[in-house]
Amino acid sequence: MHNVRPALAVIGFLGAMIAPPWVPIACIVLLALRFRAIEAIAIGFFTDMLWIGAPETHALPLFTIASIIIVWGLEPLRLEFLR
Amino acid sequence: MAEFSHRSLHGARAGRRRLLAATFLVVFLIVLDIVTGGSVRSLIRTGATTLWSATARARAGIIETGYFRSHRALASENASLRDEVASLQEKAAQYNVVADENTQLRDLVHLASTERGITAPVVSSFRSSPYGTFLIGAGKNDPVAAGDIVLTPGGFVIGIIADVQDRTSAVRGIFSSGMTSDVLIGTTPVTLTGEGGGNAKGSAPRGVSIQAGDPVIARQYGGRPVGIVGKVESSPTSPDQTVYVRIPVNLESLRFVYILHA
Repeated sequence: MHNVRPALAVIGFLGAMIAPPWVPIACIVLLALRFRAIEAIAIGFFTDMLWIGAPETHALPLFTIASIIIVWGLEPLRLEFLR
Repeated sequence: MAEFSHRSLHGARAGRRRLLAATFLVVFLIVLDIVTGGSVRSLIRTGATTLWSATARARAGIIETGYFRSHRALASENASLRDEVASLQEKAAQYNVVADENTQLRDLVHLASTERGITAPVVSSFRSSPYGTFLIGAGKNDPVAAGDIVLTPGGFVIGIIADVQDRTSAVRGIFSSGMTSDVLIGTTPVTLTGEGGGNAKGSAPRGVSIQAGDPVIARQYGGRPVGIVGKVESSPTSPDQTVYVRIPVNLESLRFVYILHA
């Protein structure tokens, strides 16, 4: 289990660069389900910074927002079920 | 009756503090990026571009060892055939474009041959971006500016420069998801909505003759071609026909693009 967290983080970061968008999202969800993972927020931020257009295009950093919501939204669940 | 847990909350509190700090840090970095005109984006893209190049060399090295020889042979043949098909389709589409122009007696000069532009390498994947963007290895230093038009080697418009850093730029595909383009199919004006992956969809009156393979022209990009009609669907109960348009190029096989100043 100790290797799962770094493995998911690496897959998430690499996936943001070379894989379809669902790969980093899946890693964010899996990380957030089991851990209080700052890596999940980092993956979301990294994906946005890599691909988003200039601020003038008014594109929201959706992956960052989604990762923050997922990580904090799953906190009660983690608190209830995980040690 | 409340149940007591023997679980220590100390770890949870520390974990939450770290999460909170990470959240504020990310928000701060996004604000910093906006205020500084993209300095954070520039750093991350420069690092990613370096990693892409390094990974490409490593991947080529692994393949050359022969470990995946049988798969490589098949994959190579497959890729070669796909490229050939894409190339033939692009050539056929180019012919249609020229024939269409001749039919309408339009005395157009091919703007790409008269306007000055630059060639830039594609340095990222086309399928990874959730925002319909891809990165090219040209930036402010070359110079590239936001709004410049990005063409395939065959002259089809595939995107617009959306963000410019010193050495890299983000290109937004004209058929990226949700993006609309006003185009002409023959003489029929159609508004296309991007669906990603170089595909778009629009509707035209059912009485209008539109065939698969017809060239699609966009006035907003200087009358240049943006794709070809891939499929037309109509129903007797609907006054409109749905037109599916695609870029006649295998985007993943593109290594270089041509940039024209808007």
